[in-house]
Amino acid sequence: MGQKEQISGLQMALLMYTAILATAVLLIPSISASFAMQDMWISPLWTVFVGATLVFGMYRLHLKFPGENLIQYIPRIVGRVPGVVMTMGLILVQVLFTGVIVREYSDFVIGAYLNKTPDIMIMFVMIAVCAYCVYQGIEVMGRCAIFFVPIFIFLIFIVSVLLIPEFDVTNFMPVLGNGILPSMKGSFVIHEWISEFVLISFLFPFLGKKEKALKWGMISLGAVIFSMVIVNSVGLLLFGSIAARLNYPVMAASRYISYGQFVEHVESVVLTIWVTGTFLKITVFYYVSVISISHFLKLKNYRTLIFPVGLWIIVLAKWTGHSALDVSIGISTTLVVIAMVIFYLFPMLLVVIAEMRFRKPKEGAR
Amino acid sequence: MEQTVLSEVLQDNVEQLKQVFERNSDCIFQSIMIAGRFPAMITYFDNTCDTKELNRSVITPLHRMQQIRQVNMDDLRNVIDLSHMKTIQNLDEAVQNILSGNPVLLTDQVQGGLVFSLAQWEQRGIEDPMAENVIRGPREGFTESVGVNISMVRRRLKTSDFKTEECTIGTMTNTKVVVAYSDSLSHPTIREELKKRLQKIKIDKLIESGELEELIEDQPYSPFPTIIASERPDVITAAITEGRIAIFTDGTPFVLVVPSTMNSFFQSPEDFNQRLLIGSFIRFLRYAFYFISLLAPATYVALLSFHQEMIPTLLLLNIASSRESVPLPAVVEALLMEIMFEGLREAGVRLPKQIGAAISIVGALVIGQASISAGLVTAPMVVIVAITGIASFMVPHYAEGIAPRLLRFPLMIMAGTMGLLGLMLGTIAVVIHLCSLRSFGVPYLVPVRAKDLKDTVIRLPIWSLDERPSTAVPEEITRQAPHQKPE
Repeated sequence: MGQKEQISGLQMALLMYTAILATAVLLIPSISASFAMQDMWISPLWTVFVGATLVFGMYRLHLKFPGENLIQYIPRIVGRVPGVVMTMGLILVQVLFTGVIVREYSDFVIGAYLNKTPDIMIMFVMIAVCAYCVYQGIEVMGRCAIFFVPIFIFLIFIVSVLLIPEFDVTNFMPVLGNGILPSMKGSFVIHEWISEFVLISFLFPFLGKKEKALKWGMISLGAVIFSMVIVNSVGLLLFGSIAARLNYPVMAASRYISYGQFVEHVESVVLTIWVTGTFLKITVFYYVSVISISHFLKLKNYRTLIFPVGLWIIVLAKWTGHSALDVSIGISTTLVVIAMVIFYLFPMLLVVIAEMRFRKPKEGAR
Repeated sequence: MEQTVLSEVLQDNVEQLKQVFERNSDCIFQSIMIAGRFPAMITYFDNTCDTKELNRSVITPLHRMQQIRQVNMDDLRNVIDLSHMKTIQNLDEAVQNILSGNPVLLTDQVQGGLVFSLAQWEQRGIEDPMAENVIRGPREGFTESVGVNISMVRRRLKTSDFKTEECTIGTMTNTKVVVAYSDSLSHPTIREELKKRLQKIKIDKLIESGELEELIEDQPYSPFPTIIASERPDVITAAITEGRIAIFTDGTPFVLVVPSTMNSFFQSPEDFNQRLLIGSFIRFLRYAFYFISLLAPATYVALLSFHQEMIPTLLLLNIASSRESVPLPAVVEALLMEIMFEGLREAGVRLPKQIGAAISIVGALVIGQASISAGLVTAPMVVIVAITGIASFMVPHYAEGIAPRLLRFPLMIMAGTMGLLGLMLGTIAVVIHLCSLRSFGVPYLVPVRAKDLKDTVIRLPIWSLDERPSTAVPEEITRQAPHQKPE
């Protein structure tokens, strides 16, 4: 009833958790396996540094500019003209990434079982549902996260547990057989996902209890990295070195599940539950894109932008590549660089400048 | 509006009243002579007041008054044997009271009139609540009289903390609406908000609390109710002790409760009257069957049209052989059957009791048996529709139970076009909608505190529920002394 929208620390952590992990669950095992082989389960651990500095940096900026997000304080840190350039760059990459996620989703759905459905249809229905959620605002997103993320975590958990009979522990050997370099190489691509933690800057202003911001941000980061280790381990235990050749190892893994001739062919169920995670991920990216643009254009109400940005996202999703292969090559090459530069180096640069320019937290910043 | 003051001359007053009640054949003007000397007039509507009591306690004593020089108000009040009467000064008050069933006495040479609270309408006695049955629990339900209803709650809440505030809504019906709450528990902001919303209502008639509900709820464009309507005094009492606010409407046994969250619609008073484990189990069943009533037909359609591999082979063979002779695709079959079932159900409610049985036979035989043998639908589909039908009656509050009836159809279409993916996206949309709902500012689906989960899908023992649910926004959260587990 009129008051400002608020989310709790837990809701923020859960939103960020799915915003990173939903697609990572599918793609990370095969990508990191191709570099790290049997050490792929170590790879996510190397991202701690980038993740922690990013979350901490965003938290510092949040303290300096309470109640504002990245787009709002960029011009105040670097000045108007460079600010506009950086803001536009950030917005473009945000929308591009939203498009890429939608594309990953539709490629996966088409590849997995709706082979003959036109991808535009699959994207459109998903974007429509996400647009509805974005329209309802951040509070509703937070509550949806409370509702769906436990289901999503339960999915990862249950798939892992049901696969235990198929595990082959010798796949782990030799641990660090070729030194630590392969596992570090494997972590390179994972940074693409971890750097998406920059979006937390857009959620901080909505937190009800400000003092918990850093704590929940770090919990979220820890949970993401831990889940990635679990998922990679499952992929490794199950497939060993061939994990690299499978596009979606977790999905392939769920085909192995068979109990009592009744719990069989559950991959559709796995996909269905995975969709809840993807939905949250797209919603967070979509929402951040929309409010970024609305702050950039200084609009009072972001809701008018939902429809045009939705169309833009679908266009970008189609434009990302000709085929699923194109997209996955892009994800492990170009997009990593873009993500590292725009989502990590830019913001960290801002943190450094801000630390130097504003020694004390600015009073009454507006 | 200018108020006409009652004059001292009886004749003037009577003429004015007669003018107001012109062409009202059931309005009675009874002339009497106080102490055999002073003319007076009692006006009331036939059959709206207790005439026996009027004769015994008012007219007879007035007739028998003796040895007075002149009449005055105090003498009249002393002589009349009634506990409820009040003095009025102007015509509008007199008219209003007469319309409400209270006889008005006007006396010559006396300023003002006397009103006797003798209003008495024919009314139903207290009976079993029809829509909310329980096996174990109080058997009485509210009636159509707001006074009786409040007294039933007051009998259970013997505390001065229980407050009732009255207002009238409807320019023609002048319906009495009473807001009842616990003064120390209910949240003042919600109370103010409720009063604000009630004051905004400007309509001509208010006949049932459903109309009131639609005028004060947060989101009228939702299939889900955000205000509980209950006809059980024990439910209302429990709600008030949690800090919720009850709204009584005259003329209906259904009392509204705000704020109401999704969870409270799944609570039956019986949960705490049954044994702990059984109560929890039944609560869990209710939630499970709620999902079934929402998702069962759509899931069946999705599995049959897109994911045949998920159905165990033998069952799949059976279904396939029964589907051989059916010309319709699964989704059309499901839509058809569900619409038929909804029709039957509605017909069952409307039909006179004598032929209700006939319809159920026709429904069971025609829909169930004949349509299968005629090759219109498959037997498994009938099973699914039947389960769905039963499942939607599991929710103690009817209004919540019928929401899935409406949402089933879009979900079936989604499932029929995109399989489980479509079903999931549809379900996500429903959840988003539920998350966006608020009941007087309280989030509808997801509780704010994890502690509120103690009394949801299962119910924990009473001694562990030391705190009131925060979804009711009580001012004082502690409900009882801790550590009360029997040793």
